[in-house]
Amino acid sequence: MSPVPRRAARRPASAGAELPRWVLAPAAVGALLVLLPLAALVLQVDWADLPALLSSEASRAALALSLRTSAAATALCVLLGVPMALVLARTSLPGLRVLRSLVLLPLVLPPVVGGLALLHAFGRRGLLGGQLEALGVSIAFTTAAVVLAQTFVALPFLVVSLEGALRTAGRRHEEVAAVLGAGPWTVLRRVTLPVVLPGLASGVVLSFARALGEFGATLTFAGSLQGTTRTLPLEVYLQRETDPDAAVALALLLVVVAAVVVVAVRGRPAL
Amino acid sequence: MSACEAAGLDLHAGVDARDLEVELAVAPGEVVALLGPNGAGKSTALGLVAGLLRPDRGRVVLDGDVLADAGDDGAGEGGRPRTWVPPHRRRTALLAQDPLLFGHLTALENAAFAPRARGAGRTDARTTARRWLDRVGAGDLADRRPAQLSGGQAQRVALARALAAEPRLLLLDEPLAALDVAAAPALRQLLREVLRAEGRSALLVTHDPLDVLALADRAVVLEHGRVVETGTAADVLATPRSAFAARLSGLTVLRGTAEAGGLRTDDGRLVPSRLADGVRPGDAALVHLAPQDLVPAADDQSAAVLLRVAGLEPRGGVVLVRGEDADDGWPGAVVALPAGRAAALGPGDRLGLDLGAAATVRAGAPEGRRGGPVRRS
Repeated sequence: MSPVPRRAARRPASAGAELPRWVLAPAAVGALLVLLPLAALVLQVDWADLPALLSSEASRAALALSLRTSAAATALCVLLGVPMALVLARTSLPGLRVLRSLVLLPLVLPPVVGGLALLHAFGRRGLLGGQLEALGVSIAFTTAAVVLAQTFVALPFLVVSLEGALRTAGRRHEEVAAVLGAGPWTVLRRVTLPVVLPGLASGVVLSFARALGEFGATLTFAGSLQGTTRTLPLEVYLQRETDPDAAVALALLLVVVAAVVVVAVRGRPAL
Repeated sequence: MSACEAAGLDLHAGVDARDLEVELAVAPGEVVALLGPNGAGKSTALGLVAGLLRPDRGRVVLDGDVLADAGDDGAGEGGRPRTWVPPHRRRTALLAQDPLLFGHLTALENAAFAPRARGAGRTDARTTARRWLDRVGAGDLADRRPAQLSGGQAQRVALARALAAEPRLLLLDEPLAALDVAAAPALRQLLREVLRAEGRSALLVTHDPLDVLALADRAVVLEHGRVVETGTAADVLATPRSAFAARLSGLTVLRGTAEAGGLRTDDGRLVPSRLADGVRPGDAALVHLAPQDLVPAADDQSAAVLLRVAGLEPRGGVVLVRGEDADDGWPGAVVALPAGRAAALGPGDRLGLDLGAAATVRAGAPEGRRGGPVRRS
């Protein structure tokens, strides 16, 4: 028995049905619409002053805050999103379909509306504000608020990505593992999670990117205090008024991060 | 743990969603083949034993342990609580058509999975795993990942993984069906050694009469979610009493009523034959004929069998001519003709056949059980 490749070979490029040629024109316009502004931004970069612009105190504070909060938000997404995806993909509780739609709401909600909603939930005069205040906890306009806003908008990315991976993987490996004597926790740890690791990884990368780019909800719920709540996108927006070169430099940084993310998740199942 | 002390498997359960009402037993050391057409409920029955499916009625008992008990009416009986043992506490193991190896683990780690899951230390589990890999002839594949294995190799590793669980009952769901013709015989032989030599109990779902003959002691035939035939593996293939077993055996089964001169088929033709012991005129009866037992008749009107050609299959110097299925799903007659004689035939043609050799009318209802009670209680 010689090892036989068990995965089907890639199909040869189809020479079959062709597209009407005019489709190329709007497709090219669409590509330009995406690429032209990015190119314009890169052309605006003052390369000589770039190190100085990026290392100003305000820039460094914003970058550090952004990385810290995005990392925290991503961790929170994993902590909460993995169980959510498991429940959505592997159980048949009543009302699950409705829950799935609601969980996806932040994907389509304007972020500023999300920020307003967070304010009314956790703000000083919000739904839970009174109880939180009694416990000595104040969230709105703190770094914690930034993390919460970022988690709010980034969570669906992780849940959707992981739930899709779980559904694609199916249950048969888990069933075999259970019959072999593995309890639910062992099955989850040794079979389910390793099998969906690529889906989880792309979910993590996507939610980190979404958290890093968060603007509207953060501004509404957390404000814009340097070093506390003023993240990179907020800094870009502010600098645009006072120091356009610094804004462009910071924007370039975000473009680079976005490009890295796109490369990292390329080839993964589409959302 | 239970009032039922019998060793082996006792499955007697129903699942409404699949319209399954199954009753079968596997004695210690016995291999029982579970046969039936697609959708008959074979895999569902395995799922009931493995614990992947809850019965709506009935019980699953293995070596005296009640694994599932839903009562006779589905609500529990006389206030008795419903019993449910989850799959990981049942000590069974499942080998399916797809090896379903864990892709992120090596062959050795796959085989070590069950011992690890049951709490063995890493070193002990690996020792056990290596022993089983060697046993199935896959010792040299220990460090490979599943993606680097051929279909036959992967299925060997999957067998080692199942055996390393030291199951009380091995559940085999068409284990050879996905293998190519080169790999299947070797693995069938391996299964035969593992099952027979070591006296393992197994429930084997298969479509292949070779599997039944090589691996099974007894056979149970399921059709439409009901047991329609049970018997020794050899009997079920040699004298099938259900449509599915008849098709599997490749024999022609004629059904009718016993008469002094032989069997009167349902379309009124007399098939001359001796009555077996215990068969009296008027009894429902069957005649089993091999393809070479039948020859073309001189005259269609007086022929013992009138076949409507459904298909022709060349087999060396002869051609197997298959008749159309009966309305109730039973396979049509099969006759072996010299290639020259078959050349003129095409689908839809009629062909009268007579018996070329003496046959014995066998007693028994067309659908029924043989070989003692199905359920030990």
